[in-house]
Amino acid sequence: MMRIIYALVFGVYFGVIQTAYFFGLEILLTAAYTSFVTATLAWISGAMAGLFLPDGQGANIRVAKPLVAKPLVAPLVAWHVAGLLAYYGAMALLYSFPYDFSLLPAYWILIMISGAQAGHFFRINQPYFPTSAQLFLMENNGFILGWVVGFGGFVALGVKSLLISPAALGVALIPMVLLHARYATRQVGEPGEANSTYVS
Amino acid sequence: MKPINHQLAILFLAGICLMLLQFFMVREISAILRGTEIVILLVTISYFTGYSVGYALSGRFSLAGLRLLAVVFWMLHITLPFSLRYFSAMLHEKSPGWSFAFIIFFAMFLLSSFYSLLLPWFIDKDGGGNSLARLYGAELAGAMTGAVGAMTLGTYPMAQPLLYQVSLAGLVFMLWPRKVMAAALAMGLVVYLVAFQTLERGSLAVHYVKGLHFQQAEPLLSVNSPYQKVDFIRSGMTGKTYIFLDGNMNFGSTSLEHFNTFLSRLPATIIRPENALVIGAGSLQSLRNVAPHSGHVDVVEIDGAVVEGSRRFLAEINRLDTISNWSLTIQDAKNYLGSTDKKYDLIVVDVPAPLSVQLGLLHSVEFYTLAKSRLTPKGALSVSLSGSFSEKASTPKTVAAAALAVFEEVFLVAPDIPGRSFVLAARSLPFGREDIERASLELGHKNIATYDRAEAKLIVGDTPPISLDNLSYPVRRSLRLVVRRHITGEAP
Repeated sequence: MMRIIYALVFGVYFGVIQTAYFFGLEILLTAAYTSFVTATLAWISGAMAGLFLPDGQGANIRVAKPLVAKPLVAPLVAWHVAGLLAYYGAMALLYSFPYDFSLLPAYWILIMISGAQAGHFFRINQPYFPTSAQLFLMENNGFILGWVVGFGGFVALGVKSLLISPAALGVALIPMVLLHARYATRQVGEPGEANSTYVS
Repeated sequence: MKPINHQLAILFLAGICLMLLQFFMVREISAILRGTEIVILLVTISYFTGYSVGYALSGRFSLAGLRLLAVVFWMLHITLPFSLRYFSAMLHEKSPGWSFAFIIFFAMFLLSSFYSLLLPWFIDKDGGGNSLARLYGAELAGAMTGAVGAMTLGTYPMAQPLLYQVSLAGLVFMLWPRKVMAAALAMGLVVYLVAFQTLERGSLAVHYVKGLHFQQAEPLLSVNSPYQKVDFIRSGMTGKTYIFLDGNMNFGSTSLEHFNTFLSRLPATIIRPENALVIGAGSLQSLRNVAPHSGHVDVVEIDGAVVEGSRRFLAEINRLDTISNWSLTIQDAKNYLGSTDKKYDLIVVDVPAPLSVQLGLLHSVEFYTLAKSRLTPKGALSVSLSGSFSEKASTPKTVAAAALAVFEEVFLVAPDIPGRSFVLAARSLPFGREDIERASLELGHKNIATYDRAEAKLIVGDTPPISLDNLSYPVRRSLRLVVRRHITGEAP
């Protein structure tokens, strides 16, 4: 149950932060397709890069169970914080220099960093789900919910929601990351729960 | 049974297909349902729900089942988008509600689900491990390719659907690589290519006749620009040309033509601006109205496809051949106003009603503040209120509330044209009520109602304007329209 909630909530977070990027760029850069292309392609390329980032866990898992939690937590929290900082960096730039196209490369890089967290999320969490289908399913359900929440928040609160929602959700997720790491540690090695290739 | 060898290529093609579907089919479906914010939201959610359907079913298919499913999906998708237009038009004629429900069902279960099923199927068959990064990476690379294709090919009418069909055929062949399959897929592609124009025009005509109550409809141009589906349709009965954006009429009715004259020519004849700006090109009729009375007119339009279509099919309306004192910028109006130093004596905002958040932003307090900063001290803004101004009309009151919040001097003008009114606003208006009435008379309209700031404020009352802190109005209006169009059937 815990892992289902975990994937779901991270999906919500990714949905919220993606819609927040879209709306932020649309309002403070341009509503032209430049914004949509930048947000879409930068996010996807970031997610691709995130899939190949070092997961910081494989070797340690093979050493001993008690050591798993710590190496798992470090990359999860690091990318989570990096993704959030990148988002607020982009917002700070947008507010400080509205309508400035010369900053597009900077936005691209910052969105990539947030997208990288999404790719890294799948890579690092796959071993803790019985099938990858379950991981994708739960994350996608959360993503849809996050998309609705992000859109609804923006419609109801306007730009305030772009500043509040990602931070509120992002901070709330940190205890969840820690809980998940603890849970994942317990699951490693149990038949049918974790992927055996990661505990050989 | 032979194993599948080309996993990376299959997922790469699946990524292309998913992204193309997200761009052109989601838009196509939204246009069938006459895209407003709520429609686009519902269709997009349905499309992403299709991913979940695919993920949930992923573990239930054997290789044989997957191949069969691929063939069934191909047979269904090779009829797109024509079959969907024909079928929804047929259903719409009987019941708009059923047509709406069918299309949402289609988007949810039959659009993206097959493609999303593939990724976890391959990963889990592969035993998980390191294959996720490799396989998901391939799908994401395909998605990037698809996004670039969708963005660059949209203005070529056949390009997006054809790229989609080629990618789908390639995917099905790699899943089931047999000679007979190759022959069937190739034949399907050839038939699609040959029949495209006929089916495209035929299905669009049926959609406009059955769904939008044209007597006869001749599609002149239909493209997926990066922003919207742009259709130029000629009525077979009257010969008039209409512009539809995401299925909503943007130009074509006689009253709208008359109103455009009011919105743009009236202030131009009074002010006689040295520099004028028209935001939103549409038919380019506003340009024709303003240019003869102005030194120079800048036109800012976000969608180049609309301008291109108007040049080709509305030459009699805009008479561009007679106008030389103008220049065109393809850009978002906010970005244009936010980055230019130029000042204008007249700004005409000729954009559709706030039925989406994006359009709502062009009717917001912040947008009018930005426009005000680009007006000369005696410069004025002219904006449609998107309806008749009255105590019961929420949209005109909402738009008027934004203008009242920003400008010191305001006149609301309601000519004797049903469903139309507009606002003239400035720091200090260089004309009075009598000038407006005289100019109206010159345009052939005796019976107009004008409201000054105090009178307008009484009617607007405490109606909240659209602002960056409150964008709910376009969504609420869109929801009401969806209910009236697709559920109660009250609105045409």
